[in-house]
Amino acid sequence: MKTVPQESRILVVEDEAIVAMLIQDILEGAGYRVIGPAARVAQALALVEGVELDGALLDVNLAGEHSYPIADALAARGVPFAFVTGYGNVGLDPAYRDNAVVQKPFSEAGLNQVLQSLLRSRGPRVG
Amino acid sequence: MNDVLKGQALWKGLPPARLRAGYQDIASMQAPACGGCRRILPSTEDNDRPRVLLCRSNCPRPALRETRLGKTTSMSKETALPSLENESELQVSALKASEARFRAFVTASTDVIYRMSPDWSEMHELDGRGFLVDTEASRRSWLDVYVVEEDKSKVRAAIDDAIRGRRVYELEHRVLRLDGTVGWTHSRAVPILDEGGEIIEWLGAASDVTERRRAQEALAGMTGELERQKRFYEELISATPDLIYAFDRDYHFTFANRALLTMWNRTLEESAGKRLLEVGYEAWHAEMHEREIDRVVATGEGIRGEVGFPHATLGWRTYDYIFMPMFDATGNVEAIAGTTRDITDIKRAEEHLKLLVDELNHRVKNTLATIQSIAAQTFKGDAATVEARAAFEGRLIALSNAHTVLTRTNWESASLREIIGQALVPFDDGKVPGRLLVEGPDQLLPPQQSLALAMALHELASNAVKYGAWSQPGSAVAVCWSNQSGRLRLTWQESAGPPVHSPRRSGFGTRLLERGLSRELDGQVTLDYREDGLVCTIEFPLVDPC
Repeated sequence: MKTVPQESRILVVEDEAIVAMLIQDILEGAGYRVIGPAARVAQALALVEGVELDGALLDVNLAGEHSYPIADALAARGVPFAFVTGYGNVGLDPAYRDNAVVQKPFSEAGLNQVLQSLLRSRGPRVG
Repeated sequence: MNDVLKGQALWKGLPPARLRAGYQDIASMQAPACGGCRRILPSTEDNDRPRVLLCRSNCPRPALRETRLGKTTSMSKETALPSLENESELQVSALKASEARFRAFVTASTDVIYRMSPDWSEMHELDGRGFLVDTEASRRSWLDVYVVEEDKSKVRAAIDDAIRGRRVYELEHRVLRLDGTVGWTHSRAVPILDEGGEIIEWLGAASDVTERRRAQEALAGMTGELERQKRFYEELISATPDLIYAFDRDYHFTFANRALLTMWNRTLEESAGKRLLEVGYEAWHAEMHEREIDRVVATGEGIRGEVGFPHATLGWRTYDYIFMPMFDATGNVEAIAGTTRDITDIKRAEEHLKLLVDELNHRVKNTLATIQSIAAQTFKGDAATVEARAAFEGRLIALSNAHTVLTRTNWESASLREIIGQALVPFDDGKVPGRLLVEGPDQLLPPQQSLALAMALHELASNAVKYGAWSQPGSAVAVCWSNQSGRLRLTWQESAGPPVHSPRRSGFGTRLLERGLSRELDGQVTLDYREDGLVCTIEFPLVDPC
């Protein structure tokens, strides 16, 4: 399964520790390097500012706060991302419904599949 | 014939003076026999009777000048009665005819005729005419015999008043009728006075007015009932928070209840006769309702709609309204009655409920994700095989997918086709034709049956991938079902797969299918390990999800 080029860096934003652990395990098992996990919007924004990213997985609801500002920051930098949410895509603000969504609970294979297509959409990292 | 005799009996035995006065008074009570002249003369054959001729001073043909009476109702002592011998034959026959007329008159009348003592303590006589009991001999207990208890004091008071004033007694009161029931009478009696102005006797007539009173009472009752109903409806219409109103065919408001006037912040006077535009509706809104009124008038059928309107004090509200036709006697729509309910709060509650269900679903999904993670952490390393972890994950996701289907319908019911589709999506992407056949009439299932079936299908599918038809190419699975008089019969049939044999030990899937599922569905589940493929038959009674 180690098909990930150059150990792509994936930001994980998830406020529930146990779920964050699962995502981290799946991603690391597949050869990704996990940035975070961040549990709050501010933490995540700081990581977006400061770290070179290849992709991101965003929980929508972070202890009552929406993760949309993180999505905006990622979009501004051209970093592909997917929402990971129990709401499914109907729970998203209409402005973000075109983004990829991973429905909780997710399978390992399902999560990997979404990540791979995210990275393909971006193409090889420059630099 | 009998009646005639009865009529005669009334004055039989009267002293002449009384009879004389009585005739006069009865004559004054009753219509005269001829214009201006009342002549009453008893028969000459009966010597008890006085020979009297009463004649008014203005009679055009006074028969006997000597006996002419003035305006007084009683006769003076000086008024000498002429003897029959002094009268001409003509006068005698005229008097005879007059008496016969009077007798006939009393007989023809349906009125009860009675005689009372001067102070009314005694009733001398009463001819009941089938309405009241006859009194043939004097009786003192007449009040008890004829008058109902409740009316006695009233009768007594009227009598006292008449005696005191020496004037006509007249009263309408309840009486005990001949048949024992209570009736009504209109009774009138005149005092007969002697020469000194003292009451000698009372002569009375009483008519049966029971039917009229009944009709009056019934009418009064009906009118009262109508009044009560009117007050009842007015109270309801005024008290209800719903808007109630009426339009004429030309779109004018003809009525608006308090709730509607409050919504407009207008008075009825300011609003009656006005069109929608004139009471503050926007043009589009007025236009919409006027076209709806047209439709009600044209079709004679009611319409219902939903619309927003700015309430004078509550702000923007959402309303559910109904316009109903009011028909005239010929069946044409003559007006439109309307009722409108403020459904703002109901709508909000519905939205809130939807939000809650969405939120709950989200929580459930998050919880499942948490369970998934816990399992993954727990089984880490050598604690469990990769295969076991995948099986766990698959089951968890199957449960989650079934939840999703149910959430779409607010957990009321799920479509069987959708449940099957969701359960098999992870196993068949539909790209290989013939690999999966799903066939049967769609059916709504209640939540619990839906979840149970989804889990069963997941087990069957993952078993097929591991050991059954889907473990090799070219094989097929058919899921078919039918509704057999209230029981759903669903078969999972694998074909063209590897040879099948019964499992040596009963795993989670087999256990769930054979035991758990039949219990949960209250039906039968059979697993048939046929040579050419597993056949699972699930049969259970359908229950109405609603």
